[in-house]
Amino acid sequence: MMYKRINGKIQAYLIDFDLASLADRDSHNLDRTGTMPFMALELLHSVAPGHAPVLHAYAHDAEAVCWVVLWLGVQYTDGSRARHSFEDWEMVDAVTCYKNKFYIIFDLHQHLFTEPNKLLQKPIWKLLANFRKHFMQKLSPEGEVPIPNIDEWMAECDKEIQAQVSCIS
Amino acid sequence: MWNWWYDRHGAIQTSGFNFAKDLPRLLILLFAWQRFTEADWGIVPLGHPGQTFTCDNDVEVTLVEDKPLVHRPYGIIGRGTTVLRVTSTCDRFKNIPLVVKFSHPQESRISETEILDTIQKVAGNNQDIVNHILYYIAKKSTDYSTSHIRERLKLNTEGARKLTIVVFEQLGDISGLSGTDMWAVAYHVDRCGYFFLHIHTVISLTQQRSRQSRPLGDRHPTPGHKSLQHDV
Repeated sequence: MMYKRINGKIQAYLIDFDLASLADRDSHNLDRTGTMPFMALELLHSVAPGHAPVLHAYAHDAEAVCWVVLWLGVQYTDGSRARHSFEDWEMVDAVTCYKNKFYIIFDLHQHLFTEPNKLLQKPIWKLLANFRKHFMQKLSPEGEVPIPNIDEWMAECDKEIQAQVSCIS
Repeated sequence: MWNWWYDRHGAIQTSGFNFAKDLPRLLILLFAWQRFTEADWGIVPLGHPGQTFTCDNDVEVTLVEDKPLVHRPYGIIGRGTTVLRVTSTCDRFKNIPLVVKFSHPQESRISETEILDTIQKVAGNNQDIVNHILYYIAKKSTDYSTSHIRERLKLNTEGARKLTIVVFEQLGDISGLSGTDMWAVAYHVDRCGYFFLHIHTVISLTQQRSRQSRPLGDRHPTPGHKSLQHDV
């Protein structure tokens, strides 16, 4: 994810399509690609020995976006890393990263967002809890898991953030 | 004495020989090494500051510096992506900050430029996609592949990596953003990713039907958004 400012407005870009694949062709990639600290819980979980492989889906990317915002929101102020709260997600194996990230969802109030990012705190906590809940449902053996409407989750989150902005201004 | 060759693919070890007992073999080896060019040593003669190269579409770019804009890769094996600043004398790109991306993806993968071409073709004028995808400015084909040495040595070439060079416009790093600006990025890319879901669905409908037994997860389209398929 990168950005460009056009007439003062932020325009976001998705980059690195060398890591993407086309859905109508079987992937020949021999490795699981992703940046470990931001990978979806389900993908990290699937890497552990004895676990079935999981097909990469849109929900995993949407969840990864939330992990990125949490990472930046808690640790960064004005472009520099002010805290090192999530060091135990870096330079560890996938299973350890999965465990550390899984448990942090219960413990998010210990990692508050920095002042400039405060307005993202509650919506991101909520989104991550939603993703975790959906993942837990998939893990349980009880029947078909409904497909989450992530677009709706994000739109709701956007509304909450915009409401906070109008309160401040 | 054992010789090792390392590249982005991995390591190759030769069988050993005792140079005390077989001195001529050592001398031949040393003479062979003496005659090695940079390319024979596996050094790609690209990436020096001030160096100019012409891309496949005739766009000429010059490397500004050899300081990478993204962190240096941790090991020798793997993609080893390096991003460097470049400039172009081409009128269209003269005033745009540019970067070149050197990387070594696996040869068997679809290239980044082919994926971007496909996206451009199927995205039409869907603003949620076209405004948030960075199309490449130029690419340069190369023949530097880790398969060459393995083919010569009759080793398995599965997972071979090839150097790819692609020029893009330089963008900003999101770690410098905060608050609503950071959220804008997350929301835009998520919307963009969401519409990919539908592109994927359109492209691969037959494929998905034949893959019913595989864990498709949430790649299935949600009924409320089926009309979007007409847009892509």
